[in-house]
Amino acid sequence: MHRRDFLQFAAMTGLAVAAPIRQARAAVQPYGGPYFIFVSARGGWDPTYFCDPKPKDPAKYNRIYDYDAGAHKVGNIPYANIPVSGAALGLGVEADPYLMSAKDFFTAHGEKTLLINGINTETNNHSRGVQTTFSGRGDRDYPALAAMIAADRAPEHPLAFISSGGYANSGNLLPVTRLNSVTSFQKIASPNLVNVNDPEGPTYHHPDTFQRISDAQASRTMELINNQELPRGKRSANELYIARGSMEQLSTVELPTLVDIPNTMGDLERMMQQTQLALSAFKAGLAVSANIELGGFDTHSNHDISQVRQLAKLFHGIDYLIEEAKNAGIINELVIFVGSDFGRGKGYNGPGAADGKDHWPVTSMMVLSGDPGIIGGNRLVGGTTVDGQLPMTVDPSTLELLEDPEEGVQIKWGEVHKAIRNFVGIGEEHPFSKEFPLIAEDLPLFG
Amino acid sequence: MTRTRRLRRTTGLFRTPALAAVTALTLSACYAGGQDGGASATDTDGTTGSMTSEGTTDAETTGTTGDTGETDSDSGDTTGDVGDCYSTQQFFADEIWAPTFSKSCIQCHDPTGIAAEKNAKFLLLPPVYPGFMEANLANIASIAGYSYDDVPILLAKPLFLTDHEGGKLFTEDDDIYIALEELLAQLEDPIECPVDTSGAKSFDDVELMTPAETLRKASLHLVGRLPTPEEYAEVEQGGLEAVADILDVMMTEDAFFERTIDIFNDKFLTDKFANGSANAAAATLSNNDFPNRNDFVTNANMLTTAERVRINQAVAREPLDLINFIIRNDRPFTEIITANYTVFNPDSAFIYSVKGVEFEDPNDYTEFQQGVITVPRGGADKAFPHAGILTSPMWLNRFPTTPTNIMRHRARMVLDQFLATDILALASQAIDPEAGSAVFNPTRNNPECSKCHGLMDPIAGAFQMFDKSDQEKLLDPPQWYPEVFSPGYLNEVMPPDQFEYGIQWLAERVAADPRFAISTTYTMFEALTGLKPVHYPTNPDSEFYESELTAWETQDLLLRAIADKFVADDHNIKTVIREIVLTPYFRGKAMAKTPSPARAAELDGVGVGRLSTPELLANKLGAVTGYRWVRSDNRDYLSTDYKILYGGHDSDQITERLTTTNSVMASVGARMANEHACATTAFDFTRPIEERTLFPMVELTDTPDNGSSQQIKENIRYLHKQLLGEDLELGDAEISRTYLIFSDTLAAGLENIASEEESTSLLSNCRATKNLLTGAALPAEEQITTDETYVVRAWMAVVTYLLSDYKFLFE
Repeated sequence: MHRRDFLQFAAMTGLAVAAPIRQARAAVQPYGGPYFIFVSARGGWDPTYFCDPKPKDPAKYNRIYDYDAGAHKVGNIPYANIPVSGAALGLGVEADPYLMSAKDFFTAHGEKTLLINGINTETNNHSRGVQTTFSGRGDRDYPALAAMIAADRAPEHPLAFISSGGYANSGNLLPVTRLNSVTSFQKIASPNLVNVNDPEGPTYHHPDTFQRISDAQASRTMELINNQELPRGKRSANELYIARGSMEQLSTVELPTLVDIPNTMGDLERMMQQTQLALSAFKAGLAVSANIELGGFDTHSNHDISQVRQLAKLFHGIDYLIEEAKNAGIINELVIFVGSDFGRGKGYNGPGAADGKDHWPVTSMMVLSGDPGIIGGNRLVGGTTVDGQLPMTVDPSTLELLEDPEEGVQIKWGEVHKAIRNFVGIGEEHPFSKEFPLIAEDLPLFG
Repeated sequence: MTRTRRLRRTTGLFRTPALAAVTALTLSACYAGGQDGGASATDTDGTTGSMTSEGTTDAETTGTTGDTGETDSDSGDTTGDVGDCYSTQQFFADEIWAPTFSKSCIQCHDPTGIAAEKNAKFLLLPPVYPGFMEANLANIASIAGYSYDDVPILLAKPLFLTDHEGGKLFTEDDDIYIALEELLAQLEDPIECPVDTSGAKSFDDVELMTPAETLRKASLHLVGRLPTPEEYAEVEQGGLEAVADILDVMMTEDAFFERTIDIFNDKFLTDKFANGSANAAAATLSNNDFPNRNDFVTNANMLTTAERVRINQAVAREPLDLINFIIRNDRPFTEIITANYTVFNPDSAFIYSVKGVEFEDPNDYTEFQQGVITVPRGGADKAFPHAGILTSPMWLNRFPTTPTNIMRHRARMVLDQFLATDILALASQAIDPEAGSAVFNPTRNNPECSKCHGLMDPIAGAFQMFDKSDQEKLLDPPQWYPEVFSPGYLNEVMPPDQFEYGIQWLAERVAADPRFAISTTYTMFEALTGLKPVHYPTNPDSEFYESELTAWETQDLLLRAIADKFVADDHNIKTVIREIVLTPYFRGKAMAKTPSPARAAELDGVGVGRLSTPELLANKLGAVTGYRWVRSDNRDYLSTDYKILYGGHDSDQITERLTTTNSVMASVGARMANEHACATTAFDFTRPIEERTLFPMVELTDTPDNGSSQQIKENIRYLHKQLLGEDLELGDAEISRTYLIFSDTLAAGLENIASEEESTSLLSNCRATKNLLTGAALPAEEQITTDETYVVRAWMAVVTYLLSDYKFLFE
């Protein structure tokens, strides 16, 4: 039974509370994938600086790189040819191993990438942009797609939806889990173990006593649920009961030694650590989806340095994610979505080198899968006009770009999310889609 | 149309509509962007007393019949019988707003709609606006007296008897026409109902906590301690009134001000710059304006890390300390944005190089004194235009701006944090990139943009005395932009001679706005119940739409009544806290029978079930066991190592608390219970029996085998009361369940000792070798290091069981 059904069932009928807790524990089998990671480039990235390049024109959108549409692409993926180096970006040479250019990134991963350009976010506001990008709607309190996927696939798993940043609205479909510390997690994953570094060492209670306490807790909580008719009290007791049902599985997570990179890149270090924790949870079969975030993209000033620097970190971070997923043996089960609040532009907000770019509602998205066959990699869908950085429409059947903006479909987040929902099995007939409907055209973004 | 009064929803919610109180909330003033192009609210298309094209006249309420008089909700000047009162406002909400105005009329008469653009006076605020129903009725009352050809204009327009761009919307036979007629009649003598904030009628099927239980919950929440026997005795005598009196005293205790730090940091998130950092707050300050920060940031004076953290926190906490200063001194809470001063302790005074502030004890970092920040400008000291936390360098840095954002982020925060208004929800229309770029100066000239910017940009302009790049840097002179809406508030334009003090000018108006009181009430409601106020339901197709509407109406009436009391009590924040504690939202405990699904939906956010925050749980643990669960640096585990895992936030990357238990949080609870039971059980037995917090009724020699079962059960009964607040009979099944844990653990443990599966020695962590309260080593003869009888470990099991219980983890 799915968690949500279980909760509703319990809340409405009380029957679920009759289920023995041991049975509930036994029912949770390791989740074997696919796994989903949603990467948020927080602040609003500039697609013209990596995947939607424009001709060099200091008066417009690009004043730092030359662009040759024929030459500057990897397969079908265009890129802004901006070299990156720690020294040039104010990070020092020690940062070089942790920076990656768009060219290098797409060279390494273009085959795995579906790139969607020219998405109209319909907002210039950060919070609404994030909400729209990761839920599909900005004017409703919709859950994150990551939460919907997790709630659909393995809602009863203890770490089903991990979010230590990014858009974490769960829509009450399942609990959100935050992970931030290996040491603390180790201690709570084995709450009866005195020294987590000595798994065979002493425990606070004899295992039989610990079990006795757990059994008594379960019985008492069930009784409480049965006797509590006030909805909030009943619901919260249910949540605790269910959370306890799978907590002993936390000890199966093999935690990594978290990466430690130069201090000048604390934000990237955090992103990489989030990656490590999420992958560990995937590998243990306890998680379905995770949010990962890298900030610093809100480059109203110093755009040519700051935006390039953050993009270089982002690409390294995603590259690291892919490599770690390979090492964990789950790369072929992994799908990565990368988005941002909105785009930037159009053009610069001043003529000076230290000036920036402001918010612009037209943006891009990348989807990567370890197995390129899952999403059909090396593909570009959508685009923006060269003159106006405006979204171009596409043919709703072939996805070909159309010159006439009055024809075809303009890609908005509704269209993208509708396609993703179909792709991940929560299409229009799914209860979640009925509860959180999208008004959008059907586009075969995933074939 | 259903004309049946929905008394189930409204009966017992008695309120005196405070229509006059919201006249300040004049709708056209709120949103029309009226300062643009000189099209002010007073020179529009109408002529006094008659109607022309679109909208009513510019005349205010003079001559109308909708004036409802006084606003004092305590006046008792109401009509309608208690228990069967159906107010004009409720009639409006049920029969006019819900079926018609919220669906069709608002399409054009929304503050950002086409009617507003034409300066129509008939405007309808959407539900995202706090107090929208009351404000909408006030607006209707203000135009109710106008007519066209003896037909009230409110009817003449939709009947298309006169110009109406929306055309003919209904006939005299339609239900809405009949309802509007009745409303207009009622507005001549509005039915007003008092509000019963106790909720006795609306929640008559909800069992509330007793006064003593209410006191315990409020005490643990607000001051992190259990009530004293004397306080319980007072409540025994005086009931809920005594609870209120005791709360007033509690809200003077130091612990209360720790709680308010958490409450307001949840809102303002300025602890981003504290968080154990040695210099994050000071580093945000300008080198030139605050030179003392330089040596501190570089640690030229070789301070210890602890000293640096302390000093940095003093700087970071300045806005929260100001709020506490205002509360502690019983000043009007409006001062959090109107105070023309801030407060300093010796540390922050040093960093800011504050002049003229004297401390009674310069080494007392808990001493706060009023003062003013000054910065060097033109060879003289220039004072900050202090406006409470709005001018706090920390607030300014926490909500930064840029040369192209030009303070709009801050304007949005003003609306959100102090006026409970989400401007994003007000402007739900999508941005069209093409349209925006096709118009010169779109934020002012493109209606799609100006809808929001007309409201937001004037507020942004009030911050013009601050630099757009260096967040707290004071400009001299201020700088604003002619292409942007002029500084102001609602439809009032700020006089240029006020630009230098624009935030103060703004703050006075925000503080006087009825939304400020509502916003404050919302903040405290969320803090005390863990729930955001209910949103007005906007989906009539929802299965439980009626229930959701009832839930909203019930809560809206109650919270607005509390806001009225807050204002009447000179904006005393303690009044809000006290009133919320006494509501069923805080006190709801149980229901006698299973509610229908519809009723369950109505009561969804009522009563027990709030997951304690890490900070609240840490305090509760210390309060009921007598010992805190702390690291070697004496800081609570729950506020440090486990804060994020247990659903807390860091005021930076993570800014929302988790409110639903997950497995990680459940495991934190398990770890906490194990470690704390281990650390405290043996030690508590070393104390004189009358000083024990856990075992005042037993000794380690008491076992079931030597006839001490009664004492053991008595102590278990005590623990249920002490740790969980449960007052159980000795024969209660829960006492038996807990007793079984004790006895079964004891028996199994003795067997394990006999078989040498377990040792007679206690784990080193669980031994009583030092005083947990003082840290001093215990004399050898008082130490407990072994457990030959297994009694210590049996009690450890009991304490673990209770400390990880639902009733311990949840409020």
